[in-house]
Amino acid sequence: MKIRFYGMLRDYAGVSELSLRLNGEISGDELLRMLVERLPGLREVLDSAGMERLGIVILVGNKPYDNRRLIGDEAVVDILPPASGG
Amino acid sequence: MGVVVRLTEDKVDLGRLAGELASTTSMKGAGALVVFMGFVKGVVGGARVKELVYEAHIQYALDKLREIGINAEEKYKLHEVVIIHRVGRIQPGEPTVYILVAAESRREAFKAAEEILERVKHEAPIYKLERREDGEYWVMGDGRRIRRPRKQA
Repeated sequence: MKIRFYGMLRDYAGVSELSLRLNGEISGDELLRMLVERLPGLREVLDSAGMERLGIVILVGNKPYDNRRLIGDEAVVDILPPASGG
Repeated sequence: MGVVVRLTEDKVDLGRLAGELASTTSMKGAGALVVFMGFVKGVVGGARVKELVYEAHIQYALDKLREIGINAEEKYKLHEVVIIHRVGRIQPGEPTVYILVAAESRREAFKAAEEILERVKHEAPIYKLERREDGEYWVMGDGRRIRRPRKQA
């Protein structure tokens, strides 16, 4: 699985992307827990309360993540901070 | 009727674009064109702004801009919607976003343009880093600023 970070989340992660090798599929919550363990800088913004508070969006294959589905090992996952265009 | 969206590093010739839109939509019954252009502030919170750096998730941003444009087009019965957002490094006074809305009358055009802008600011995956003389800040859609961590990827 390839994970890419955008905007301020890239700063907190300390990396722009990361590859993970999984045994099977995982949920979005499991993925976030895994990311926070590996990249402690994300803890401040990527816990579940933080996601809701900040409006972080997860894309899987360029589409918004549906939390009823599992994410496969081959997926490209984008972690997006709150929008700030204009 | 149509929706045009674009992400670009370049400035747009706004006069030409507005003229073309007025010309093409007038024969279909449009009589109002609202043009919005956002640009980079030179001073924020008393601090001089050096530049803004915009980045985007290109594919999802284009999808989202198109969705916003289509929603407005249907809701306000618009003749044409153009949403162009710049990316890359932009200096104070330079344009960041262009929204053009052609409609039969001004009321729909003004309402639609404002709604489109608000949705672009809060929904499109476009990210803004403000480089100021007093530091670097990530700017949120609601205007909040988060100081950039010292260590970056």
